[in-house]
Amino acid sequence: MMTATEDMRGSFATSFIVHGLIFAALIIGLPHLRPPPLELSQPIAIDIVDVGPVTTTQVQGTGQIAKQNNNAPAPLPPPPKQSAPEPAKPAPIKEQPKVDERKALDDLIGNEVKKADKTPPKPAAKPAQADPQQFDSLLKNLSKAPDQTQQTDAPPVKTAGPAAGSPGIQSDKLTISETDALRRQIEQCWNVPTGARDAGDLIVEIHVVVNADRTVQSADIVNTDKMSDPFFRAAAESAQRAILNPKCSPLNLPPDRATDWHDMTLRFNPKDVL
Amino acid sequence: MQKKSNSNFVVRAFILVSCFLFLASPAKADIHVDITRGISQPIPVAITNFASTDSNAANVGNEISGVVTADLERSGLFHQLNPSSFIQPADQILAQGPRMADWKAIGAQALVAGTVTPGPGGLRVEFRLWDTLAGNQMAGLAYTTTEANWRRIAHKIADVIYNRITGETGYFDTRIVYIAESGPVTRRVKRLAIMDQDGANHKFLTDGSDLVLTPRFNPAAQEITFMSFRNGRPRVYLYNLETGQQRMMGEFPGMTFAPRFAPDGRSVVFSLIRGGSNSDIFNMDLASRHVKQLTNFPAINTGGSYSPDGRQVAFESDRSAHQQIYVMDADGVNPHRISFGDGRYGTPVWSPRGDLIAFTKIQGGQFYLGVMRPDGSGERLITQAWHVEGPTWAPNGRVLMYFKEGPSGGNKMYSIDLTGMNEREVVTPLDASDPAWSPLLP
Repeated sequence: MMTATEDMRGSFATSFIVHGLIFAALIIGLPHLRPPPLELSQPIAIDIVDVGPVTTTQVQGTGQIAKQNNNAPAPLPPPPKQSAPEPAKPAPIKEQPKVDERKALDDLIGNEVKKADKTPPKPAAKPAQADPQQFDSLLKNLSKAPDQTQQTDAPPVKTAGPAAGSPGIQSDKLTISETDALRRQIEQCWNVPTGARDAGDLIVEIHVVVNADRTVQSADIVNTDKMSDPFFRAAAESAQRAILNPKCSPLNLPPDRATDWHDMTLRFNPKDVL
Repeated sequence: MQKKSNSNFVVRAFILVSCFLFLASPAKADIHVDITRGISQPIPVAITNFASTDSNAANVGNEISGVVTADLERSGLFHQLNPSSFIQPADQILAQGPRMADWKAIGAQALVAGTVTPGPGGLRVEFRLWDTLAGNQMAGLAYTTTEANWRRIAHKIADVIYNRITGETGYFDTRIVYIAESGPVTRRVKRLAIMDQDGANHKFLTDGSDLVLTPRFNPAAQEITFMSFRNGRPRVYLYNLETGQQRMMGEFPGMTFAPRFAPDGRSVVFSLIRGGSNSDIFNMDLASRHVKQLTNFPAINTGGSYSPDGRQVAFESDRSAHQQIYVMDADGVNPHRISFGDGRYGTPVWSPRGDLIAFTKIQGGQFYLGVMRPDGSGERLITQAWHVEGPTWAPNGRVLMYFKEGPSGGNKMYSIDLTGMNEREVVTPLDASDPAWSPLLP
């Protein structure tokens, strides 16, 4: 039989626990239901200043470049054949013998080269349309950029333009501007494996642990199960080199919030520039 | 008893509170950032002279590192750092291990070092490749060979480095057969010539007395097929580069041209004009000499090129009034057009990698060289000239070679990475056309 004292003890314990629950919920739960005021205001202020020029202005800029190209008076030089006094020998596109050999062959077997083969090339009808997206690509395409230089002694260094509409995954620990700053920095150090087969599918995740001084402590490839594929291994190592590149050290991170960015995952996806 | 019941209640309540506190606490969220853009520039590498205590072997070591450097730089994917900036002496690297900080300090992302040791059987060439940023060794191999083979050893080392860093099979230990041209336009002398892919070891295979055209390599052997006007008769010949033996493919009632090997090297696809000006594509089994007709359409059907799995053939045809590229099954059925852009398309050549078909195109009065996927999508034009023709793929399907001609003549060969960003002239002693890239040497 329960005494009055024992009954009081039980009620006290129950009351203590219930109050403890409510108190714990207030202390721990409620602050995370809404971000602290500093976190709330910071991204708004920085987003307007930083994100705007990065994601909008440069896209317009590439469009302006494309427009200028479209307005160029003569993007394609006239074919030399047209200035010749008489139709020059057509360079046959076929893998048949060239015309001089074809004539010799025709003489031998009594054939005539098809008229279609002798048709001189028509003059350029209109300049090819330059696509703003072309400037995003690391792959050359003359049909979209007709005024490309043909020969280079040294391979040109080409930086991809901004990929509109690909802001990447945001973090709740970094503001949009802070994420953009980090992304822009790493992009300058990432040598994209442009020529690999199905390079657009070589998506690599690197887990990065960052020291308090914003230098990289470790950069580990996450999807190690694919490392037996030499193309993936090469792509993964190129991503790893981007993070470990001294040019990208220290990382562009807010110096006063080391606990926020101590570890992170960077996802390298070249699809937009291939 | 009651006391125990109360204490159990307290314990259970404590566990409940703990669980509540655990659930209420925020999960530790990693930062996730997508990197969707990057740069395309040569990887800075430090290739040191291959060291030796023997002076003659040291000279060979210098030559080897020079060829390795030239191969890698020509690919457009690597940039050799100035050797005068190297801090750690080359002869210390293999003996003591690389001091990564020294190499990172000069901007090297990869380091190559080696040694050459003379022995009774020739030279032993050892090399190692390091990732200086990750701080680990990526490759290490040793070759034993005669001194005369030093160039091939250098190409093989370059192939290993290229493969390890790009994931792609190398293409430096290969050769090029092409048509060397000389003399005035009216009396042009055309000779078969062969050289290493870097232009070394150049020699002529024919003396120029017969007109020769369209050499094509057997993808599976050091053998070529070509067309020759021997004794005034145009015929397709086979030429074994190892033995020097030549044989004619066969006697046909018309003119044979555009020969190209199947991937297994056991058969050849070619075109045959039989009356009129139309042509069709045939396949001949080289062992049985059995000939099978693959196309049967009243038009010019030519330029057959097998897919690397041998299941399909790309070809050009003007059956739709203009030259376009078609793909059919290897037995000739299911021909379907894959090129639909403006202009005329021709000379399809299927990549050994299988993912692309190279082609030439006339559009707007200009010749272009381009690539498209086998279904016709993803067309990209990567170079242009008054006349560009004769594309041939490196065995890894990453680089193309072809020739360009200006309005005043003067054919020159060029190579280009399939990204279109690294076009370079292939220097030859005479004018050059119709290159054919060999498979990797055995």
